[in-house]
Amino acid sequence: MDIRAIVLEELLVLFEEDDLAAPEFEDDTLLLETDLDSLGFAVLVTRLEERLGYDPFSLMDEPIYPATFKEFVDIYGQFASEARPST
Amino acid sequence: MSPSERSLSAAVRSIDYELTGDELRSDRLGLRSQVPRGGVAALSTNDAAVVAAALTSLDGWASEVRLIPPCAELPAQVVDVATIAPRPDGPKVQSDPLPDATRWVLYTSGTTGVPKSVSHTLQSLTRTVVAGKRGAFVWGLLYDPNRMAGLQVLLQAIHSEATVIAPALSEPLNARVRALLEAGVNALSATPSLWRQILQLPVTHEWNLQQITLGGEIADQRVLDALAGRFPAARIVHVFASTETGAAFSVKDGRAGFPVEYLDDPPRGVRLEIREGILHVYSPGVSTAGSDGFASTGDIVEVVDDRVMFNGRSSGVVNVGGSNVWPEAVETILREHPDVVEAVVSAKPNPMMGNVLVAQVTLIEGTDTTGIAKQLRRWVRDRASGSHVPASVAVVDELQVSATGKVQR
Repeated sequence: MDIRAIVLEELLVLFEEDDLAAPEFEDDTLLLETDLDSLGFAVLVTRLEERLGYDPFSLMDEPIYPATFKEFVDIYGQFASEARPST
Repeated sequence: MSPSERSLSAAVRSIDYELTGDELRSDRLGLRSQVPRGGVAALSTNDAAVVAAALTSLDGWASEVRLIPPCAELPAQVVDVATIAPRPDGPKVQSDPLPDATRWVLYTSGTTGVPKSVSHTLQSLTRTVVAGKRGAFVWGLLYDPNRMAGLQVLLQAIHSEATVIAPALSEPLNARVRALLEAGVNALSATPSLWRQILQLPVTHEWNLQQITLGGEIADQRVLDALAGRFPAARIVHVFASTETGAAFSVKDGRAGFPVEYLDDPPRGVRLEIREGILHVYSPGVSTAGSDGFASTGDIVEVVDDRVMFNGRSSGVVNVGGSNVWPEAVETILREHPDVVEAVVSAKPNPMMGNVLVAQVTLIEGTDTTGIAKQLRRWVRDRASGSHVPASVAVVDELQVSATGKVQR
């Protein structure tokens, strides 16, 4: 399963659990224009860390604040190689 | 109306009212005509302009003003006093101040969902207000005006004759931020968690903020750097305020923590000491102060090079996006679920919210675990505020127990 699909799956689970209507997630969907609040966002990052084994937001040297769905997924893609053990 | 068309002398603009500084001072809303002098008033509104009018008109008039968030479920006697509603043409009533300071009663969200009351005077509320340049700023208000942080913004604006723009709290954050930008807001106070969300909004690239204040939770270097990058013209201040001791000071150098020199050279006269890793402040009037006048703030600190850094709370209280949460309270709620045997809730650092809670539970043998995590999160959500809901719930066979018999967090 690719990262985009995993992120999307966790997002949809979160929307479902919180009884929120999930929008159609497109590349340019603005995350803050969905009903996901900051706590929801934090929950998403926690669950993705449990699933993927890393949290890119605590790995990055320069803080990046993703606006769109694509930017969010790209950050996970970008840090996937860094997070993997080098051996 | 563009901001330049409006008078910038102390005005508060909310959804329902636009009050100038003179109108605030002259009780334009007629609040005094509805409360007997020396009486108790209950004000139930989310409207920032009405709260500002109460601050300017009822202090020194009512003996007590209860600021009740409209959504709060309070016992009837709390609201069953002179409940005041703004009367835009109310007569002006002149009087001398009361002998005792007016009590301002705030209601905080409790762990059980029942709000707890905290009593202040205008003096104790203004202690953490940093005086700004007169009329220099147009402040945005993203906080609830009934809570401490929102009152601070209103009081600061009243003191410095600044304008406040307060969009409706019910609007989503992006709509509120857009409204602030369009109204010419150039100063804003928010928690680090809220700032991280604001930084996610592309529209903020065009925002020429001059003053940024962070408070309510630990400001980390990342968010400070990100704000400095996005808003290069802004002066960035992070505020440390201790509710236990009433002490407050601010840090303006854009670096996390505070300078170690503060321990020798008290900021704004607040004397600080580190004792057994906990920050203490000189606050002899506080009931928890020792014989030498120093009281614990409950904040665990560490000196790293030339900075004193915050590492959490000694009481085990966890800050989730600006709200204080006791993991034990969430454990208790989880244990009340019919399928749960034991629960351990711990804090996990989170780049968005400071911390989130994660739970581990053991279940009664034979419980169907399908969808149990969702069920347990829902169980907590129905019984406490959103910040208590664990980000994840893991079902385990057994919990780790330490040598002292305590479950390990």
